[in-house]
Amino acid sequence: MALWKPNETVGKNESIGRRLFQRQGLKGAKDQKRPDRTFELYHFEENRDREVSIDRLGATSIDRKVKVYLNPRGHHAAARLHKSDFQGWAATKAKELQSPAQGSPLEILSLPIAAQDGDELSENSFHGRILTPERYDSHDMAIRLKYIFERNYHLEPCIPLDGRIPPPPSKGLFRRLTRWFWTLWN
Amino acid sequence: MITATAQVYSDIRFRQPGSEFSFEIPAAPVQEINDQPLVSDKKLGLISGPAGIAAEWISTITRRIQQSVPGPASGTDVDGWLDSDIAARALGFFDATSDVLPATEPYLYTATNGDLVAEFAGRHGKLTTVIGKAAVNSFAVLEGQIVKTTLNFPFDNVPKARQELMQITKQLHTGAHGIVEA
Repeated sequence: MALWKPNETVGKNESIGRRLFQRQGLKGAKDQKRPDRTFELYHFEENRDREVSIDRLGATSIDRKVKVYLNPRGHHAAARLHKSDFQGWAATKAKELQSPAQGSPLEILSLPIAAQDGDELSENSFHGRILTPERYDSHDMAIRLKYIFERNYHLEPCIPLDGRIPPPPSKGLFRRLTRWFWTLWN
Repeated sequence: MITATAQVYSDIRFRQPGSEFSFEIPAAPVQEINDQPLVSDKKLGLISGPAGIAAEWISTITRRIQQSVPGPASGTDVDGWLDSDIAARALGFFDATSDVLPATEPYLYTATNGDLVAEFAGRHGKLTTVIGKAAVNSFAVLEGQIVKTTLNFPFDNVPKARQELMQITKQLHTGAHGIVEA
């Protein structure tokens, strides 16, 4: 089956993801525990401009082929732009932004990126941008996105560069058994 | 009905005060009063008004903030350090407001521009406080709605900010009513 070709408009049922890059915590706060099922403000802050970049991960759910396409691009961006490790995506449905139950809707534009200077990994056919409303500053927008993405928390892990599939989360008996089998298999 | 009620009230007349009753205060027995103040009187004299009780987490948070400020021998690694000006402002903010913030210990980290972020969790929502060099912005998410409170440096209106934070903290604990999106 061919790779998904996304439409020019971002559909409400599409899965979208914000790339997560690892960052060191505060030096003096190593003893604190990070709250479960939360993202951090900087995950949704944009350095370059007012629009917030996202990846379109699939038409109705996370498309494995799209993920395989985007994964090396995430690692590439982590090394080149962020000088850190790529962790995966904070993922949600586009409709959570486009027609939220509460608050004003956020517009998502499809903006594919062509390869630059022969760098194949700079190309991204699944790139999109969330437009920041005029009245929001960067913190306002990041807060809004953080809470939208946390509402139905979904962290889609990256595929590590060594190609090994990351273990599933260890919470729950089924997941622990799955993890145990995964450990045996690998 | 309203007209009738108003009519009734307009008919009420007030008696001249003191026309019917007079009060005489009995003379108090004369007592010798010691002019020397007691030790406890001096301590009470130092209190200017109601004093808030700082949150339990204040000492832990203060230590974490202080230990995140780079010293002279900290090297060139910039990750994980907190700007000393922002640290000072954060300590001042928590000192002024910890008693009206949620009782649960906040989770600390820095935003992309170096501002300090403190995240509190409540039963009905979350409070994220972003402390920068110019202002403290507090964002409460209550039942899906965002409320923003700003306190500018130098602290311009602490009582108003405390009042707003106290209301937000109460709503985080009990649930939101009548909140308008920021």
